Amino acid sequence: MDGLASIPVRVILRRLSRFPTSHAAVASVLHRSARFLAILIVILAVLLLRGAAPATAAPVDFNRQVKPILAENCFKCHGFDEGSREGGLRLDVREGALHPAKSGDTAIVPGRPDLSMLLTRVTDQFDAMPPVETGKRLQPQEVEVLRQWIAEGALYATHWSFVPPVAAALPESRRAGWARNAIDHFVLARLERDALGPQAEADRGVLLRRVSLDLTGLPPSTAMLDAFLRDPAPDAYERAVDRLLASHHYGERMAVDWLDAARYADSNGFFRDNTRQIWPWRDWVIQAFNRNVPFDQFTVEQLAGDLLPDPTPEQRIATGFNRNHMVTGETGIIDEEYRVEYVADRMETTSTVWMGLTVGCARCHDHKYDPISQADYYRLFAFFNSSVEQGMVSQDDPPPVMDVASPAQRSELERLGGQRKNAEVEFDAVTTPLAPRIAAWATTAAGTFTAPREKLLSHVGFESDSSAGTSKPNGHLPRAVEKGSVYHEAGLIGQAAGFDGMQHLELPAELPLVADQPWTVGIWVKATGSLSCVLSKIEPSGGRRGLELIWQKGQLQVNLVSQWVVSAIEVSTREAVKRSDWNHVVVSYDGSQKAAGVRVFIDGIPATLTVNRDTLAGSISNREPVRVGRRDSGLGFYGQLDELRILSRTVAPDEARTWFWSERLQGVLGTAPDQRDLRQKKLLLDCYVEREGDATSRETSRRLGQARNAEDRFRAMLPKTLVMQEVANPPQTHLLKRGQYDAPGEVVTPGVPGALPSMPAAFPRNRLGLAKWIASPAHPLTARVAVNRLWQQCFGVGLVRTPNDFGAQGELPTHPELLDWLAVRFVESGWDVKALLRFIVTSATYRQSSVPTRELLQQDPENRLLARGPRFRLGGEMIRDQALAVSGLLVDKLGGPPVKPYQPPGLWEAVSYNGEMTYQADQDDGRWRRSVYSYWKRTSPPPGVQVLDGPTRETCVVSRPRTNTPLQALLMLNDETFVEAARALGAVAAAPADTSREQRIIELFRRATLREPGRAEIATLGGLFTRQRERFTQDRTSALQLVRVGGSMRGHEQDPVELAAWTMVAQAILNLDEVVMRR
Amino acid sequence: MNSPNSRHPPPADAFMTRRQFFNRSAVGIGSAALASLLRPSIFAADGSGAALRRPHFAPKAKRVIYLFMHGGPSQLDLFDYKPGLRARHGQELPDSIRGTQRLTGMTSGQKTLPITSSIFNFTQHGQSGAWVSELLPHTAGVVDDLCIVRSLHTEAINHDPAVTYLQTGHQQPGRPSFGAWTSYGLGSENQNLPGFVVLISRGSAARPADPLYARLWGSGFLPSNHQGVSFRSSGDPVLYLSNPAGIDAGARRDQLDAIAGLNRLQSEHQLDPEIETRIAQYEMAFRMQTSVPGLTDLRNETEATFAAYGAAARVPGTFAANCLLARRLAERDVRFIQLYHRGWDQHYNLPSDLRLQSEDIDQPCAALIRDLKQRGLLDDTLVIWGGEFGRTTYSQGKLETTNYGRDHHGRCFTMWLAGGGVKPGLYGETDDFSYNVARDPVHVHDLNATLLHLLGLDHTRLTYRSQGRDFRLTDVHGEVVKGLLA
Repeated sequence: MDGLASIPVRVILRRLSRFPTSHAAVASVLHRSARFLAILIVILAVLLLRGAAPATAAPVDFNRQVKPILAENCFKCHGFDEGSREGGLRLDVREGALHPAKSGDTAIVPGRPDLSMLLTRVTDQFDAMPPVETGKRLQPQEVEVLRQWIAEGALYATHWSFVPPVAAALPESRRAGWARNAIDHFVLARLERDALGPQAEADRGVLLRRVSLDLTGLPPSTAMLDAFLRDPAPDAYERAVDRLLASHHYGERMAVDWLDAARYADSNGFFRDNTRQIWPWRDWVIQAFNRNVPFDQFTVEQLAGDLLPDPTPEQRIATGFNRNHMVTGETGIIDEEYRVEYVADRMETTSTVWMGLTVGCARCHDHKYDPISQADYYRLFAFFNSSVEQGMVSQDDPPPVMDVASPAQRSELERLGGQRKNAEVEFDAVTTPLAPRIAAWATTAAGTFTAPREKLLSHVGFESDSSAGTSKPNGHLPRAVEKGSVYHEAGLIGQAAGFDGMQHLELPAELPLVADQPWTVGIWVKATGSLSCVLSKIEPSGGRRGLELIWQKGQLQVNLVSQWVVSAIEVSTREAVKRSDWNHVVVSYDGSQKAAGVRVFIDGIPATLTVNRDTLAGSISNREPVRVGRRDSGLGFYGQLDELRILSRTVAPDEARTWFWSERLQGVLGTAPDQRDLRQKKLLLDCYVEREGDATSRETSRRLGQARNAEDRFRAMLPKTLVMQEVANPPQTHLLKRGQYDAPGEVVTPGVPGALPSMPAAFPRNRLGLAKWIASPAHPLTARVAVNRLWQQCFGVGLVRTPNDFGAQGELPTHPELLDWLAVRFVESGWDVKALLRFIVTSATYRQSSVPTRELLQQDPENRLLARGPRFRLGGEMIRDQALAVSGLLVDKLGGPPVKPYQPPGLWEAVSYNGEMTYQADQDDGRWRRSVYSYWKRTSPPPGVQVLDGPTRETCVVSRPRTNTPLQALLMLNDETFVEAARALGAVAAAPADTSREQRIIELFRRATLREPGRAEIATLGGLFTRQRERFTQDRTSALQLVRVGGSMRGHEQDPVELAAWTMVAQAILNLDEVVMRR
Repeated sequence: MNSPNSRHPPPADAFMTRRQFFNRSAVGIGSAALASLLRPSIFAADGSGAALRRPHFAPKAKRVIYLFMHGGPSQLDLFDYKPGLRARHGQELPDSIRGTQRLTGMTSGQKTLPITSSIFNFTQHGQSGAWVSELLPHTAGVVDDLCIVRSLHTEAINHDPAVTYLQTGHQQPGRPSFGAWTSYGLGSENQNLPGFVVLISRGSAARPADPLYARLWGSGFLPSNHQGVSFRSSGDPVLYLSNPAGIDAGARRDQLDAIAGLNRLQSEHQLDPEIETRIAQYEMAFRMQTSVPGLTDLRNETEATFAAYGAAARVPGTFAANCLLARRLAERDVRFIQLYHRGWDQHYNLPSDLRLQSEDIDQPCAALIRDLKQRGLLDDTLVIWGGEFGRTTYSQGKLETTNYGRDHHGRCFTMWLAGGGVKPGLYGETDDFSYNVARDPVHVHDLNATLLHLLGLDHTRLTYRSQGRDFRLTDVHGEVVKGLLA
């Protein structure tokens, strides 16, 4: 039945097809005969198969049985994507499959497998579909499914997940008495199809530990366990569940999965990976879960909280979901390229998290498997393409950001704002009548103050003319030489120099910025980075002798160094300097080698200085050039600099203020009075009042300044968070050819994919409309996808095992009716997440023992049928939190800025720009907070979580893998966190008490495992204790070393030998398989 | 091994082969259950791209040493000799050459793009007559073992996307790294060491070293045990390798025995093969505690070796020391050894900084080639040298008599390959300006396809399904460059 006859024909055909057209006619004839022969053979084959295999009783289900075969083998070339469609044949829709292809053949003739070329081709021995290069081949049973389906009429159905779910009636089952709720009926019915039954309920301790970890991420305490074991009420378990759902730890646990999906991190991700503040969004998530915000509201607020009418601060914070993507500050990147990446990331993440759609495939071409066209992609893209943001981000917290104030802080802000307004009114009243006098004064004012000229050593104007950066070249003053491309941009006076960390200017090394003579440096600074060097003259290594002027997050730091650490002056300004705005900075030094000899003026006003070091004794001279915009090799400046002057003398406060005004007003006075803008007028007014005003106007000005400062200072202290914000006039969105930012195609308007329900006309065509559409009960995907993830949280895997893909390439649900039933009920319940979780964890299915029988293990090793309870390894955060909890170290504090627990040294240096970022572990409670609060740096994520399969949080992840590696063993045996936890747990046993060693072992064991150890287990641990105590008695030094690991004082008062031996025992227990697993 | 609950296909060899695992896990599980665990849909290779049991075809190379010059070394000053530029030095780069190539934001605003001839002398070496810069005298000495490819090109023009592209096949994050793909495809041959090791060194250039990212050795959507393990030059060579103070090997052994004993009791009861795997992984961890320090301890290397690699090889964390370590890892059959040497981003002060960087790497690279050769390892070890892109033919910033800088340039750059299955010689040419590829272009995807080919892997068949798509290192591109194959 090999179709012997066809061999020569095929061979001839293939050879002929290489011939030029003169042979085409012959080929065509032969081709037709070959087809004919092939058809004959297939008919024979089908007849034979029919004889061999009894017809399947139930009709074939297209979505469950047929579509996976077609999707896997055919859709890539014969699917939705017109661009890659071969032979004019389309198999993903019935019309296409029934329509003759270019060859003239018809793939499917309903009811006639014998005439359907599809079957011919997939069974062809020599030129089979799919082509041999794909390495794919249909199995005989798959061919049989197709055959039966065609025989039954080849009916298509909409992809299962695109059909709105319907709650089916509960199925009947023989053991219905076992069922506790609807879940169990569906599970039982499925089990009984395979003649299987459920397992008995798990032991109560196992069950309580399981549900505590699933719902709160923490194990129960032994006290909770004892209370539960003593509770005879039939609903003891349900009440325990209610307590867990009411615990604030619930929100902390729920957040971990959500942060993975949202790709939350505390750093910007690309290149320098600077820090960012978006933890208020993380806290919003925790609180939202704890408040049990309905999932539809949770959705709308995160996707479009800013577009709701009169959004509350919380609703705006919620929009941080779509700001969690990475941003780049890499010099030289093309702004639009990255802006487009951010929009794409946002849209694809939203689609994955809420709809389980893999839209990313359609960025460059129509989706090959799912009905999502490239135009659909850009219609969704358009919803996200109207944000106020840039591709190139030079500051830590990429705008738009908002200040996050507590209610108390908000009222204080209001109070300060009110004071400022009052002061403004008062000031306006006094100063409005002064206008004519100011106008008169302004005509002559220019000559009354000038920048210092006496003992001027250098003046750099940063103009772009041929004098290499020196404006107004003055014969005897040195020129600044540009190193790297300095940008010349409109500045304070003429042009300023623009920096993005890559370039600087140099002045000669001979400039006498020395320790024993006076000098002054004045420069205009407009900084956009967080930490960079304004000016330096410093040695790159050794004692780092020299001078540096550093901008650090709004503070200016001045270092005069003879030998770093031992001989140096280090001062910094206390008031924050305005970021992204011009500040005149003057550093004046009197040559006294004392910190008191350093004065800093900001806009001509003496700054309050914090003296961090005052030990300078010796020279700061060196042979280094003066570098403007860089330290030695690192700390390149970000922002603009203008008008640098260096003097060989000090300046007095009056002179510093005059200096400031002279340069500040230069542009203003040069502008005709009627051309001056508001800001210029205000500058003039301020200057006039200060220099010429009477006592009253000066007093009101002083009060206004104070009120403004108070408000600004308070605002600067507030945490910030990244939020969404729309631009006033959204740009047009184009389809991007090949997905490239610089290849715009047709214009598209915001819209949803045609294969999904349309968007009601009443919804606005913006993110809010999209959010409402996603969260509407009619959406076929949202509830299913959400339910599936919550199921995954409790069972380790979802009912759909590809939680990120509910499309044709994703897995089918193991229990489709159950998934749909839960999805319908979830919506009906008002999207009540806690209720759904409660429903799942109180089911008999969830409460089963996770121990299989040997037969069951053989029959269903992956537990797809749910004939036993779920078991899987805990995630990295949970393993650490559990160690902190059972050892009593856990500091239970909700929310707040990220914390830094222990981390091996050197990790940040190895990857950061110039090795200049250093991780410093907290010295306080931060070491023992829950892991959800740990600082997450994307280029070097928390190492323990990484070892335990955590993601990098660079992209959206909705399920983590679970591996089992030796690196995990090393982590749990040797990481400071785990050793300290073992010591704290050991201290419980080592504490003097009237208990036997055996009782102490039981106590430790129960804390970690929530069960009583058996005789053999007690004996093993007792033996370990005895041997280790013996060893530590011999080697007291080792004992002392071990019990001092970590910063906690637990057990420090105890006998180190006892404690060390118990630490070994506790560590063994914390490393047990049953502790890292949840069964 | 993966948990049986996991939906991810398991690795081929997560430090321990599956065979070993099942040999050990005979405890507590009936053989029938074992047979079912072996069902292809769970563990073995299937069409969805689970790990291979063996290469697609006979490999030429069994392991890789990837010497990554992070920052983008200047092809114009090292390998791509353009004597014709001397006459044009300082002249404007013709628009006809520049074409419509986009420039980085660092020089797109520059008013002039003055052609900059290399300040360094070049001479010809070896049978191939390859021109090599005076900065690389040692490399010049092994030039006949190298295949110098001068026609690499990439679309990326900035570090982060360009390095991510070369190492993961995509400019944006989220994909597995080359090493992870290799580990996933071929597994590890060493039972005591990770299959994918990363070594990082910092260059001597005054220029700041550009950042690295964990994703460059990450596993992306592959199971996370394929991610690279970064060996560190100070502290523990592998994170958490050392026992805490006060616990010595004997005490640890005692404790591990207790843990294993208790776990075994549970194994009887739980019928969970995961437990035996965990016991095995704790044993492997214990073995690593001995094998890794033995590996990183260079004290018993000979004087001759140190003389060959240079004095810096005695200083942990230098590129020279890492090259020596790479040879030791190769000897122990570690599959993928990824070095990063930072500091090649010569936007300005190129003459002085490039000299410093070249001094860091020249002697150790040549020594590594000779050393591998002498030990018979070069035949089946693939050595790769190069960065994420090249540098511009024009100067960034002001062109001075003895000083210039060069911006990023993706249109052409040079890498060299050596060892397993590589045909030594010269491959590809650039135009007279080293601005465009003139002959035999090799795209990033072509390079990766070729490297996988040498490892016995068909780049179109090494796939993994994620997000509804079968992903591969070369995306949907890449052709094996036959001209590079021996």
